[in-house]
Amino acid sequence: MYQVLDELNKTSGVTGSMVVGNDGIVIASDLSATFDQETVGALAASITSNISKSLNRLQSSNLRQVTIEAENGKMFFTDAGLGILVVTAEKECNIGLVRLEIKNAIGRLRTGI
Amino acid sequence: MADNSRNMIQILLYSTLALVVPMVLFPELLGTELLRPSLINLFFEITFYGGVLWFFNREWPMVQLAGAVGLCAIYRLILGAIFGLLISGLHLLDLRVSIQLGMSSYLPAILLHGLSAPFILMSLLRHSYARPQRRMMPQTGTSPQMGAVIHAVAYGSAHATPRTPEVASVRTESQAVSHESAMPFVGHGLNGFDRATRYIGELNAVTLAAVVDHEGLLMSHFVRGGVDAEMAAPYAIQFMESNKRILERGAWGSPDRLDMTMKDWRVVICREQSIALMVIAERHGDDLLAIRVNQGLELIRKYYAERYSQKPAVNPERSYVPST
Repeated sequence: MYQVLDELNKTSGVTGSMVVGNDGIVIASDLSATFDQETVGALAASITSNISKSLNRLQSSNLRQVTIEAENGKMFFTDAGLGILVVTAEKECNIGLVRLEIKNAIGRLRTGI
Repeated sequence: MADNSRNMIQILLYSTLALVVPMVLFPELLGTELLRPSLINLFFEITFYGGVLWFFNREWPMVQLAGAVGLCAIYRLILGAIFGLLISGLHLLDLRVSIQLGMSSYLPAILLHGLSAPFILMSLLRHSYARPQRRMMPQTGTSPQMGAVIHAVAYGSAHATPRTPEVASVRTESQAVSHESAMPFVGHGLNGFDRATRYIGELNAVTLAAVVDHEGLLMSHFVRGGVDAEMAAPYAIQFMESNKRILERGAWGSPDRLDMTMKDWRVVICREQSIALMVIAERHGDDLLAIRVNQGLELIRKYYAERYSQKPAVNPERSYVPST
């Protein structure tokens, strides 16, 4: 799992990645030192939970991925089966490339490589 | 334009038929007995035209009817003259005699031309008389914007109260459905928000494109299919606000854009000043969605800055016309 996160972090623009359980507990983390992994984990779980609840009210479910473009960077939350794959990136990163790498990483996480 | 050319082709085809039939068939079948030209024949002819045109177009006023009758008579004479020219070549007749035959003396041809003239010209006459009426409609009828407000009031929509005159025009779903049919008229009587939502809605994958104000109320929307824009609109603000609080706690700052991907759907919410753009689209529908959303957002940004800017409007023409 750490190997997958490490390879993901080599993608241009990606500043860190981690896997968080749906309850916000960090499963594996490879974030840069500027972020507190516990905070990011809680934040990821909170955001995905919030969005899922709202989507349920809209009769939509099966949330696969959330991308948030904020003032200080981008965050990608992707359903990884065992939890949420969180990827933090620079504000000007290549979203397409990051998503592609996330897709590959998810595939590898699901198959347990 | 297309109707006109279709009518003209139709008239040409029938006219050719009306010319060829008496030229080829009638001399053999009916002989070549001549009819003396007389005013009584002309009277009967005009009466016939008048009767036929009135019977099929009772709504026409007398002046139009008289014009149509005159046109039929002229058409019949021209047809007769052409027929005369043709038979002068075919039967080697003197030109003057043959034209007289075609226009007033050869009974089978005159009867055929006379009987067919009003029917051949009918579609063209209807089209040309209908066109000026259509142009007048927007002046005499209720305007589309007013119509939307009336519809909202009549059906008890809670959003019928206009916030601004422009915003009021887009507050009913019925009009959103008509957005699709009104697509060629983009730019006419629309505000910047309408233009942006319609522009995004041009993508077939998009089922909802909505501009929502800071209170979660619709300002403009485009709907395709059965999405309830009124219901979805508040969530645009809710998604943003709830995540803003969480992100600010993590020192990420407020979110500018939220992109949610589900199994079959994709929801994009973008924030611009105090308003939000919400787009719901099929997930695998179109790869150009992100580009359209960005461009739509740019339209909104420009319109918002222009329309709701805090800057005092001092010499606004200077921003459009460079100094010479």
